[in-house]
Amino acid sequence: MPQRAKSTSSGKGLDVGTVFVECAQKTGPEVAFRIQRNAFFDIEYSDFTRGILESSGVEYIQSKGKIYVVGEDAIKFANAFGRNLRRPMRSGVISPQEEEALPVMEVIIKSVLGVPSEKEEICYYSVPGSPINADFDIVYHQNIIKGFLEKLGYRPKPINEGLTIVFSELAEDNFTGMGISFGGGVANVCLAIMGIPAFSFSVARAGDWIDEQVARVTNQSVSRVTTFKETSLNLKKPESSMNKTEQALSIYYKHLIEYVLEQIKKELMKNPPQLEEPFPIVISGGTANPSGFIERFREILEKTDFPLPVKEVRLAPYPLYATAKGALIAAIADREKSI
Amino acid sequence: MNSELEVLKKIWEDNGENYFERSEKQGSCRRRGSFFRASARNQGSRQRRGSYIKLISNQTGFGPDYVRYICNALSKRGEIKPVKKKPGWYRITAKGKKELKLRGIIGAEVSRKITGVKKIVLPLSLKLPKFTLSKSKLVRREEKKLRLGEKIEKAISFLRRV
Repeated sequence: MPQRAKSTSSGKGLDVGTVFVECAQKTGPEVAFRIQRNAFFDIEYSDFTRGILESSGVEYIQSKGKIYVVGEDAIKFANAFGRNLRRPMRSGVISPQEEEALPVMEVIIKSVLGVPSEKEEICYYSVPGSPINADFDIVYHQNIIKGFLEKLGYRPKPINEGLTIVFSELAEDNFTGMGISFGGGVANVCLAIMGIPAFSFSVARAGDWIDEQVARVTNQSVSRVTTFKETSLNLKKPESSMNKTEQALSIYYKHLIEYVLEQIKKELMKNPPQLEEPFPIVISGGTANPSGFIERFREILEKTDFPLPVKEVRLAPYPLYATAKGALIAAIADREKSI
Repeated sequence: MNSELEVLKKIWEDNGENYFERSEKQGSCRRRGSFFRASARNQGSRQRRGSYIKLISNQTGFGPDYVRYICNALSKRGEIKPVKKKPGWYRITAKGKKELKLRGIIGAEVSRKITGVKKIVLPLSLKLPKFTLSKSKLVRREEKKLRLGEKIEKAISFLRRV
């Protein structure tokens, strides 16, 4: 049987998330996901520190008398120093509190995207929906990211994060259903009917909120809680055998799911869409990654008086990559349309 | 080692810092005696003219445009400077050498006597860990490949129909 040549398809999908920045690119039968933690950690510059970092293979950016450790290494440093990570984004958009947010974001985006494979390659990048419980908009964020991508030589196109989940996971349901992305900064929700969003919004409460609350009540640094949550949390574990951190995480997870479902319910009540059949809900995002999350979600949904009939609730097979994958589908489809 | 350092090191090498070692090896096969020594000295002075983009590109495997871009950046920082009347040629400056020494890429003393090269201590760079900063000074990122190509094709074909 002849082997299919590995050809790289033009078009990239970029998930600009509060916690991770990811890029998806199709190469023959494979999709390559390049992922970078959207975080940094600053240390005062000295030749000694620089030497230590270099001999340990840690990569950094040097600027204005400071050394910035960027990406995955930053969380290790934050834990080692007992300080919190610095984050270029907050609540799904560029953080106004971080002076160095823009250059760090640019470096991180460049590291995952690389150079375009053709002139003005299409790149769909995720943007959050308008927040319903916070006073900010996404206009500035959307335009800054657009500028970065243009500078790198791409033709950037924004796409709602909730819609990327629909594109990624609901093809066999005719792109009809609800995509919910539980990210770090926000939870994005989109109900689409045949690929067209009926409504979409974001709730400015997600993984970071859980980490902050748990760190506060257990008197730990947020970075430690984040590391524990990402590596060891199992929500299926019986509460009696949970330690203090696990218990706190479990409580705030429950609270977060209830809160998001309440917000969805409110929006659905305002403008109830006319759906002929019960619709599926697909969950994705890093916050939905811990074992037992989907069972917890189903359990709470059953107790909620949800205004529309739901066919099923399922977790995306790769919750961390669903947004980038959806954006990639949009990019390739757009390119094929324009040829 | 990141690409800027790699280019800087190549320029330093091509500038003649390890030239004598190479010419001695080549010369020992073909030439003997005083003729070789005179020739090596002459060529040594010629080497100081610098290095050119195409050569660096061949040595490093980077594209010529990318090497040109890096050379511009290094030149702006004063670590190399263009050779007069030779477009695309650069030579290392004292600042550039200092940077290489600071990074531990060169720490070597090249002792040269009038009769030629007697002893070369290799730079320490061989023992240094390799940095993965790639061509465009990228920070390291994780990469995962999933066999989702067919699913994506299917989704796109559905999307076309909708």
